[in-house]
Amino acid sequence: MDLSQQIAQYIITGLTIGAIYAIVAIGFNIIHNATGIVNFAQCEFISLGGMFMYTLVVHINVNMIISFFISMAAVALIGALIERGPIRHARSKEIIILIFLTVGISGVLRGAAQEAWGTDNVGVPAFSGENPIHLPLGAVIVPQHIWVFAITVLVVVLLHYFFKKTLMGKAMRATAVDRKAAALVGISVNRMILLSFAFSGGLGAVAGMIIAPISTTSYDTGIMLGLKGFAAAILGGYGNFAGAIVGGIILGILESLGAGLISSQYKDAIAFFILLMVLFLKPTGILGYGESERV
Amino acid sequence: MSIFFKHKDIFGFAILAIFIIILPVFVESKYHYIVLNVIGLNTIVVVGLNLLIGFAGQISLGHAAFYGLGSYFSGILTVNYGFPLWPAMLVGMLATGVVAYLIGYPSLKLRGHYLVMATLGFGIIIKILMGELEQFTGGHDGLIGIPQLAIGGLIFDNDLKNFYLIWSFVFFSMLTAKNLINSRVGRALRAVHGSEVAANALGINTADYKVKVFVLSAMFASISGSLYAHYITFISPSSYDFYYSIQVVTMVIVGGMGSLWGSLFGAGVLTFISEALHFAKQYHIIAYGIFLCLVLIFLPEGILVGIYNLFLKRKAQKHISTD
Amino acid sequence: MKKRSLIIVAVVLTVSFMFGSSLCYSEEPIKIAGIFALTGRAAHIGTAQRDAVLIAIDEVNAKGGINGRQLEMVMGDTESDPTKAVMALKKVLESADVVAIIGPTLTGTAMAMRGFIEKEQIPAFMHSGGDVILNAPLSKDDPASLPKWTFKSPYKAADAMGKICEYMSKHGIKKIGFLYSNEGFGKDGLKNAAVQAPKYGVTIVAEEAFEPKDVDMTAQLTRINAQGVDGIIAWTVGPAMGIVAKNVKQLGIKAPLFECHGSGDPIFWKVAGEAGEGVMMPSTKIVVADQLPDSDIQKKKIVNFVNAYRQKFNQEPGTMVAYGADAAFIVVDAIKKAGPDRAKIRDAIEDTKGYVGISGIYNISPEDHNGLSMNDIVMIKATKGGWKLLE
Repeated sequence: MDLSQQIAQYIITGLTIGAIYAIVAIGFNIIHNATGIVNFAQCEFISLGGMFMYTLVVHINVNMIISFFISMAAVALIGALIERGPIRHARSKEIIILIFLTVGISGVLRGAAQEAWGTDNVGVPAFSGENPIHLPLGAVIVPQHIWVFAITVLVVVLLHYFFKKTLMGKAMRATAVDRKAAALVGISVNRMILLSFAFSGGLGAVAGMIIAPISTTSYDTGIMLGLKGFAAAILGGYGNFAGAIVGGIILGILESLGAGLISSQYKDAIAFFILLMVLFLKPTGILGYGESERV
Repeated sequence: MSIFFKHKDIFGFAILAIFIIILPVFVESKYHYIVLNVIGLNTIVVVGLNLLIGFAGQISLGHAAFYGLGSYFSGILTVNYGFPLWPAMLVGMLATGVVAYLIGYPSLKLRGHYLVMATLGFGIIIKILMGELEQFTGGHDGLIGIPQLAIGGLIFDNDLKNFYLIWSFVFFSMLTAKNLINSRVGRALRAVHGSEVAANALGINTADYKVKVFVLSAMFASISGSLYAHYITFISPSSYDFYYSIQVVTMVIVGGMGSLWGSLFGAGVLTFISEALHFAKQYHIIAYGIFLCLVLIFLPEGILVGIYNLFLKRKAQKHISTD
Repeated sequence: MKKRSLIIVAVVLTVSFMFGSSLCYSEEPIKIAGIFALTGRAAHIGTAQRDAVLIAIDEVNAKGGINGRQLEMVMGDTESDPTKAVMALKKVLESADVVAIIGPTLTGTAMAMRGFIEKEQIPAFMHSGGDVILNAPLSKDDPASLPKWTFKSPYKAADAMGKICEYMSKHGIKKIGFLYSNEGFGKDGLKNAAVQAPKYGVTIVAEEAFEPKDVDMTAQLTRINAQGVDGIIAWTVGPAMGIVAKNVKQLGIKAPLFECHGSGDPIFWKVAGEAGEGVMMPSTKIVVADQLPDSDIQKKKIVNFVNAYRQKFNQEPGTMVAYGADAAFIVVDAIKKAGPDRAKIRDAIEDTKGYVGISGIYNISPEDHNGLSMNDIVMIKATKGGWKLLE
């Protein structure tokens, strides 16, 4: 395999993992836009998506497509419950407090997942088999990679349509821009926030489910993925929808090329280092507008 | 108001000193000592971090890196190069300060979540370096045989002696922090926290202060890390991960941001609870998470401050009802 | 008259019953500390090892204990963290009558505990994998200062690597690629490979690393494959075991894949699925118990243990379980010989010769606190959801 073929392989791998980062990043962005916080429980949404899928498909033998939607709904429900419960009732709305509240919630979810499923990693069957597919430039993938791309594109398109064209989507965008104004025109801000958590849950679950056949899943798979998804969101410009996609793809490819071409031991360090350099040069991320500060 | 403040503080420090001196009369078990010592180590880090978070209003999710740098500088200098113990700790503290400056200077120009990510990022980078630079650090197998601290012939080789050592450092670090808070610098920091724009308008060089506080908090963490290394005599990268960074910030919040005594309290309560919950066997992770959530939901000003406020509210209500 | 005699009989019976039963249980139980990673990243290994140790202890207690005294395990949780491990150690040592320690799981936690165990002078039989536990001197100033109170049940990682290389040389595999997880275990493997491979005429032409939690190793495998290797060794535990196997199949790499001695575990099939077919690894005999020739002295003990494990936990034991069980068996054996005295137990453990364990036959000596050799290791191949013993 010559160098150009290798690079093709690295890029394909990078795009795949980048797609996952992008979905996770969108999840972070949605909650940030609605509430201004970082939701650390996003990591658990990813793990739970994969684990629900595992239980439904492998243990209870439910049809894969149905399992997909049930898992997504289940995690979305958990997201909504998190908002309705701890977040809504928190006495302080200060951002740092809420962020660490999500850290606490994340711990509870993780502990519960460990109780329910144990600590073993488990495999989830691929959506349509594992026969390798040879691509033109010499890279090799399995069908699951195509599913990852396809579902990511679908998610992006659907979300784009939702936020641009539907009333509820526009309402959520309005809430993100200015809560008071949104409330004034009759939008239920609380409901929008609830929705954003539910969306975030569903998205996290999707990310966890599509990568599970490739990477196996466990009660804590989501932590590293979540962290890198957050990094992707920041890289692209926190809160920016297109930024999440750009950030995810760039981070994924950087990581993969770094591993393949420079050094596999330092690949994470390289990826984060580049992230820091970007931030130092453009403090609001690649496509970001920055956060306005109340004076 | 300021005189009252001073009295309360002298009182507080006196109690702390007495507590440190007479505690060994009541405590016998090595287990209790190691828990107290870990609380002490955490307190030193949390006190420094609180200056950054509580007073200057910045956040760092990468302080495990500075704690670790303290451990590794001390460890490497004494084990690999035969450096004398106390100078090694001092050099470690200064070196960590330099690293903090190099990272802090560009990072603290970032706002909000971008700063969070930057600190997360360098925390990860430093942890990776700890594992990779094997010739110096011993790599993932860790650094073995770190010598224990000693003053002259007195070697700090058991839990009781380390208790005195560590808690003396706790005492002095809190004293240092208190002095800083009461000084001009402290007031400048609080101005920065209140509103950076206003502080700038008043002529305070906010960027400068933020970086200085960041470096100072890193040095506090470094000292604690060195003490840890000489106490346990073995260190490895796994102790300095992202979870540690989260844990110390949690202690700042639970203790009460901007409250010096809260730092001690937060470190104490969370370390203690984490150990005490072992009776719940495998449920202790869930139990800890629930405890944390409850505190953050109902006592967001911190446990100490929160309970104090509840107490004040009750007093006030009693007054109203007796009128 | 009848009433009075009834009362007397009742009293006599009660008193003799009490006296009799107190005779049976008048002895205090003998306490052994078990410190494992019950939570945290190594929890799946730690809980399995704890279960194995409990089976060993239950077995002994069912047969009447040691000299009429029951064994009691005092548990500690290292939470997969070195600092917590030391705290757990000090906690279990609170009960001054703990005579021995079994555990911990992770090498990092073992190393942190080591110094304190030596100082406390309590025998500890560890089942963590790192050779450094026994090899690294306690103090850098004195290279000969090896631990006296610490023992270890897993065979040396160096021997496991040697077994693979030996197999490779017998099957014409000369150039290999080494893929390893970027932490203690993986890096140790790299060092071992560098030493063992040349002994058997094998050359490592490519070295690649990945992070333990990575989800895709195709980049690294692509690079390795580009060197034209005859075989690949992937040295890691955890989900990566399966991911590497999948990636190898995906890339259509023909060179055979070898994994480490921790892969002989049901979790391998859970994470690798069908891609696990054909992967080879060194292992303890526990996973191929039924395939052992009847002439193998270990067979009976292993088969009994495996059945007991299957019955109690309703799953197959993996190779890690063997280490926990052996640690327990040898410690219990030493207590039987030497009585509940820490120093005597230590001496008895150090004197264990020809002990038929599950991981192998233990010949412990002052120079070798592990006691296993390459002969105790077998090569197996993963096939059809199970394992095949290779010649």
